[in-house]
Parts: sequence; C-alpha cells; structure tokens
Amino acid sequence: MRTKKSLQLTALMLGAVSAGLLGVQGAWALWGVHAPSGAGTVRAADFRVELNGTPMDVGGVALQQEAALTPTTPLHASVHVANATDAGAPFTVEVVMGAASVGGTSSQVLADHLTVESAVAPSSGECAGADFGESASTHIAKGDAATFCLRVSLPDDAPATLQALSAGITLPLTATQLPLGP
Amino acid sequence: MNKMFKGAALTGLGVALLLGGGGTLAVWNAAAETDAGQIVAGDLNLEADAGVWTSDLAGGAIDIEDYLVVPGETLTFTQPLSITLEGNQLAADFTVTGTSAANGFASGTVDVTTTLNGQPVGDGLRLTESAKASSAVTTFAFDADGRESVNAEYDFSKVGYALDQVVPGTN
Repeated sequence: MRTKKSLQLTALMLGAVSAGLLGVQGAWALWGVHAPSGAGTVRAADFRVELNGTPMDVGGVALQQEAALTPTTPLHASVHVANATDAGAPFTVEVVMGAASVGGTSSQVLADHLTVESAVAPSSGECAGADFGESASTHIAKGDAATFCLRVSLPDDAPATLQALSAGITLPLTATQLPLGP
Repeated sequence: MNKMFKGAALTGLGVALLLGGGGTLAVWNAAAETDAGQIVAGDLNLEADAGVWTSDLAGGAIDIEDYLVVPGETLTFTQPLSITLEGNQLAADFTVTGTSAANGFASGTVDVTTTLNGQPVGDGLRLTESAKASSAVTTFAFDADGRESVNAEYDFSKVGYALDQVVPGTN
C-alpha cells in the first residue's frame, strides 16, 4: 500500500516537473523596445455659421417687419451671415438662400400675390440696390460675413381685399463647406 | 545469521581487492586548449526624434496644440526614427502601438495609416537590418458629413512604436 502511494507521488512529481520544463521552453526571452511618438492630440474645428450673431444650427432667425406693404412700396429685410469657424486651415462656405414659402396667412389670395425675392447685398450694404432673384448664394471665407437681402412685394394691380392681412414667410438658408485644395 | 555475516565479510574482502587492483591501472590522457574567440551580443534599439505635423491645406508645418482640423483635410505626422538591428540572425517586427478606435470622432470619419520608409506598417512590418535614418509617417485623413465630429478630439499621446525581436528562424 505504501509502495503504491510512493509510486503515485513520484509520477505526479515527474508530471509537474515535465510540465514546468515545457512551459519554460515556450517562453523565449527576446529583445523588445518601445518609443513614444509624442504626437499630441488632433482636434476638429467647429463648423459655426452665425445668422445675426446666432449659430444657425440652433434654429432660424426671426425678422420682424412692422412696416406696411403696399403695391407701390416693397419691403426689405436683411440677415447678416458670418463664417465664424475656428478652423486652422482656410475654410470657405457656400451659403444659399433658397426659394421662399408663404404661410400663416388667413387668405390664400395674399399668398398668391406676394412675391418674395432674395439677393446678396451689394458692397454699399443697401438692399434697395441689390440684384434680386428667386434665390441667392455667395461664398464666405473664414472670418468673413455677408448680408442677404429679402424683398417682399405686391403687384401694382393687387386687389384692395388684401388690406390688413398678414403672412409668414420662411426662407431656407444652407451653408456648405467648399472643398479646398492645397 | 552467522552465514549472512560470513557472506558479507567475503563480499567486503572482494571489493577491497578490486579497489586495490584498480589503483594500479595505467591509463593515457591528454589535454589541449582551444581558442574559441569572443562571443559578442548584437543590439536592438529604436529611438524617435521629435516629429512634425503638417497640413495639406495649411501648406506647411502646424502646431497641433493649437490647430483645428476640418473635413477634407489630411494631417501628416512625420517622425525620424533610428532603428538598430545588429545580429546575424536578428529580425524584429515594427508595429505602431497605442492607436485606438475609441476617440471622439464619429465612426468612419477618420482614416489613420502609418508607413515606415514608405512601406505600410499595418499589423507589423518585419525588419532584418538597421535603418538609422528611418521615417515614420502617420496620416490623419478627416472626412465628414453634416456636422459630424465637430469639436471632436483624437488623442495620439499614447501612440508609439515598438520593435520586437522575433524568434530566429520564424517567418
């Protein structure tokens, strides 16, 4: 009985020693070296376009026009668009003011007679002298700004039934980064 | 018991005789010295000098601490390396360490690749000889839609290079 236990113990020790030797054999001691790059952190710029000083991604900008619109007196309004990005490289955006939609009026007749046009303000800044069309666009470089003008008008033969009516006018404004080469 | 004692005594006597006789054997022997020379260990080392970031849009070197990247731009980090591999059977794998998909940029908006002397590093580049005037180039290409990754950050501070010897004879 004692002999059997001794044999079992011996076999166990032999197995353990063999496994240990095999394990050590697989763990090569090899050279290795590491060098840090010190490359720092890359940060992306902010894509910030402001409408009258407010970031355009926050929401639209409301232009209140209290003056009365008549067939002979169009109304003008303007919005200041600034490219306020903090990009490291040159960063120019194309800003487009699209076609207007008229809503919020109790009379479809008013909507049918209203003409809404847009333009980029001339260098004088006077919207009255702008070249109006159905839409307008311009390129604005980093740190620069432009003024878009709106003109709302009625035809000369607008019916008198349009008097004292009001309407809400919405214009989409989009800003898109322009690809720049080196 | 008596028989056992006698047997043991006779055996001891025989062994003593054998030992006595063995001491009188005359055997040849010779010795000579050999000049095996010296064994000199090789060297494996990797040293990195200060790198420089450049921008394809800014048109030159930039200070990455103050620079803000925009979509469509590619930043390049060029770093001089000195690689020492001295040893007749020495080979090592060059790898880039510390890069992580966990960064502040939206998935798929950034493509980071590294080359060593013009060869893509990928998962590892096998080297077999020294290259004292090496250059590791990491490009950071940024592309995004809408307002993706605005104000995002990609931390390269833990990025480095490793040179690990491979077991001789392995491919």
